Amino acid sequence: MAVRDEKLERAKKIAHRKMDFLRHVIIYLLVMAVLAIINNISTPGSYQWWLWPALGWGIGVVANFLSAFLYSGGSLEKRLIQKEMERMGDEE
Amino acid sequence: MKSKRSLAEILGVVLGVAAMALVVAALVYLLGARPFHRLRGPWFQTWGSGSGWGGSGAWASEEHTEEVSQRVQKLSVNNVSGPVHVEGWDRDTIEVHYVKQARGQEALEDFRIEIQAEGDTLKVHPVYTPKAFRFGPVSFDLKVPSTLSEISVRSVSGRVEVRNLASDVAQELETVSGSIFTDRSGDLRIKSTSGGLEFSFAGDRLQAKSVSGTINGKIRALGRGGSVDVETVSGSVNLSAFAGLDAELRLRSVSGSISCGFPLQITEKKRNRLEGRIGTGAAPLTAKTVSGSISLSPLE
Repeated sequence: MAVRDEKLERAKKIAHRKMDFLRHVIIYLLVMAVLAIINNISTPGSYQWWLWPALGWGIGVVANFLSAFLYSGGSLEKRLIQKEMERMGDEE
Repeated sequence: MKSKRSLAEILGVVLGVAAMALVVAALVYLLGARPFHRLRGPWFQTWGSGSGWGGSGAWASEEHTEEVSQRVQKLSVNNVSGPVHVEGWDRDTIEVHYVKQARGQEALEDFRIEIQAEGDTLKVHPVYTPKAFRFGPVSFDLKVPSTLSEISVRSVSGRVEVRNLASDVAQELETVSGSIFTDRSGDLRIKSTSGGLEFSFAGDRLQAKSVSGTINGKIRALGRGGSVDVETVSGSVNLSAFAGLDAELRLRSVSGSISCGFPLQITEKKRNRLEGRIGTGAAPLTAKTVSGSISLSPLE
């Protein structure tokens, strides 16, 4: 029962992270689209200044993406957990 | 058993990859790499030659003098960056002399100076092309008939100076960053966000406002129905007025001393406030500051 609860908690946590990321990336892309439109309507063909916030904020979004999809419950983490559990089993 | 991925997960991965692609594209563009060469704005077009914004290229300048013979009554100057000097002379024509500057010759072409008479007003201002990103300062030197009826000078960054006009010329002088000086004026509106104000006024209406700067003013005459309103946030207000001043006085300073060198019928006197009447109190005279002192003294 305890193992099932633990799994449920972990699953909830991972799902929560993924949803957080989804919200984050949608807002990011929408804001960047608006800035790009403003940039190109107000000064067509000129310097693309909106890429500065796209870069700065984008680094945060990418970090969020990596933590939500690659490291939380990803194969690497799973393997590490399994390894730790095996080690604990050997000690017992 | 391998679990199926939900739609939200797939969307997340796709958008995540899109965000990563955008970051890489931004980085490549901002570093000015080849695949984005055609997209690059004017800033990067001169980056290589070292004359872009932030580059170490030399400033290029263009100087021009134009004489406007059309008779006008009003002058309006709008500048973005650079000082504006207006001086009265005894001719009927207006001479506009300007020096515009930019980093690189190419950037200099991105804006021009428009000198145009519309009705009874001569308008002088820089016009920027849509791609203008690297414009520099423009300094204006104007010689105008001292008998114009009205002048208006607005600048974003730069000192505004007006000299030698007739004492009944109405003036509206405004800058965001920079000081303003006028040695003689009729009705006057003078405003700077960051910079001191210095004026000599003889008219009906005076409005002087600054956020951060000292105000030094001379009131040489004030019409009976007129008003004086002087205000700053951080700075002192030093006013001197003609001997026959007839005004209802309201002086307020949150943290500073208040002094009045005129004989005053005091109606209220507190640490940060002085109210009273000079003569019959014909015209309201208000001076306010938050941080600084206020003084009103007779003209020497």
